[in-house]
Amino acid sequence: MKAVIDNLRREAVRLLANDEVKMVIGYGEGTDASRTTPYFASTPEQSAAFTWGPLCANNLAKHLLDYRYEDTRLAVVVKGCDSRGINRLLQDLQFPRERLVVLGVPCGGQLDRNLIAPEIPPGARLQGIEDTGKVYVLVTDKGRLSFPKDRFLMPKCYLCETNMPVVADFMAGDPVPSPAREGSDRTAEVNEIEALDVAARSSFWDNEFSRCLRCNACRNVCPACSCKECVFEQAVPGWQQSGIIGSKANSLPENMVFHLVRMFHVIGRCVDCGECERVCPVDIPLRLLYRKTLKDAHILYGAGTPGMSTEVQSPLSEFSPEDPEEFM
Amino acid sequence: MLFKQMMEYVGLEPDRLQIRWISGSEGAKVGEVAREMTERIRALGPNMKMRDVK
Repeated sequence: MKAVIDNLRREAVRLLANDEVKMVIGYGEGTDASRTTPYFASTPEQSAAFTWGPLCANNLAKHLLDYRYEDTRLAVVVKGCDSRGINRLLQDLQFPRERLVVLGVPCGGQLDRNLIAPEIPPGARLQGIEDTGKVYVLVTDKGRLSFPKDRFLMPKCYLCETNMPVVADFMAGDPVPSPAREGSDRTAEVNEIEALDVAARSSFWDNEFSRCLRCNACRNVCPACSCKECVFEQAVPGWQQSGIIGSKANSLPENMVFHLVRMFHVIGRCVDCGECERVCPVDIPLRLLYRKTLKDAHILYGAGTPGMSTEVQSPLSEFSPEDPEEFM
Repeated sequence: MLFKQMMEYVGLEPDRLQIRWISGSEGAKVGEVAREMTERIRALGPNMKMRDVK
């Protein structure tokens, strides 16, 4: 892991020193031992602060959109799952390829902050991370903490499709084994919900959606949500709407409309990076919604996970005479 | 079709949504489809789940 960080820093320094890019977007040390933070370096000296490891859950692809109307070149650090988001943004012409340098990192799985944070002594400072193959060891000033990969990774990592980036101009390290579990079924959880009867499904989602604050965090972090003006903000910002129209409890159907619309809008663009679910302040299982559309798009249109390449069109943006068409 | 399956997934009746491709010269078909749709919705009854949507 040390070697990957060194490679990454060296490449960032080279890119910035040669003026090949104006800024490198990567990960920097976090405010506590259980996380990192997005870090933006625009001078070679700042590049020394870049880090990488199993605490880098953020998908940095979305940050590109903040710079889409400028004319500067950028470099961005991506994991396998994030790199699918890069492909989707390129395919939607949201960011020009020639202004982008993709720095790939090999990912052996990301630790789930919700699981590891309680195990870390308060105030502990991170000094390094070791990867022993089956275990990540967080070396802190208050001792060494072991986190076996088969228990402490994010749920999405056990279903990982691409732990190596699908697009990269520079690779910071050699391939590492995928954290995906042998024989894991990506549709298993969706199937469980589908198997419930209508009333049970309805109350399951009512229970989830009733907690929704309409904070828009899922949308803001989503690499598939690239609209400059979002449909939900065309009249009144969402978080004000519920204040005007009624209490949160009364706005359950509104929440359901929000989630249905978002679900529909990201079909063919959701790369299943799981960022929505990670940032949700009330823990709505959002991936369960979007994975349903991934499954259906696969069954109806034979579509694979979006973002695997820039060649394959999204199922809703191309027509084929073989498409099912019950509306004719 | 994707939207119908999504509705079903969150516990709504997918029959409440109908999409038909009708050409400008098929006035009779508009009436026929609307009538069918009305009957089906009447059979389903009021949509209590979404009654508060404004």
